[in-house]
Amino acid sequence: MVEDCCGTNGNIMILACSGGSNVGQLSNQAAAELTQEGFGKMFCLAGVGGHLTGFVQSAKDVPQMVALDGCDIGCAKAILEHAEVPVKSYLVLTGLGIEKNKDFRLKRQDIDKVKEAIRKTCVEPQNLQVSFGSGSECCCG
Amino acid sequence: MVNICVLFIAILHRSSTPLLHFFERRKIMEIKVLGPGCPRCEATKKNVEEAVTESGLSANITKVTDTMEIAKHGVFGTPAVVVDGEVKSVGKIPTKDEIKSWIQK
Repeated sequence: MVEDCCGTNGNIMILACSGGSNVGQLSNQAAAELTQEGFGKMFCLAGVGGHLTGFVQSAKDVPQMVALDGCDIGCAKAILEHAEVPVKSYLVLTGLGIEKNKDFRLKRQDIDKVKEAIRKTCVEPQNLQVSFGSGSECCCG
Repeated sequence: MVNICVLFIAILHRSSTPLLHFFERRKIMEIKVLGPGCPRCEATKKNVEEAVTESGLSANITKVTDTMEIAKHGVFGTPAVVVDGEVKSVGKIPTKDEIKSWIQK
């Protein structure tokens, strides 16, 4: 989490929802793989949700960040808004045409699709809340 | 005799509250500067020290360089500043004015 040299080293903070569905886990998996590849660094959304000052202040102060929600329920975005963290970039996975379900056998092509979308979102930082497809069923919890 | 005791306790209670307030005001602020050691975190510590001096306040200022100790604060980068257990700044050098706004309550 902390580098040897001071600063955030230009890392893009990735905050993924990690919810109880395929798209929740896709966002988590994509975030983990991008971190391993050196594109950004996954950070603790739960810490922000718990209002732990280190996590909240880090999310507020980081120059670049992207929030990932699996579906349009928007839990990650809600957590950030509740903690008064500005959402600099945002992506909802169901908007990429991935259908939300309870199948946790993640498809490689979906993971790669999400990663590519995250890279594009960060290159062109804007609120990329793509039009919502399926996924109105709440399966959290 | 009982009345004297009650009166004594009442006087003690009335005088203890201002005493408590006096000791609370005298409580020393704890400021930590988190960073492994480089010009940026040294600059941060310098700003903290000067801000405290210029504010006329008392504070224990500690530099935390151990990576595991820094990680316990949940910060994304360094330097970071913690005031009385609350993280105030992460990954940047705060200005003296910013620091003063945190320590002057």
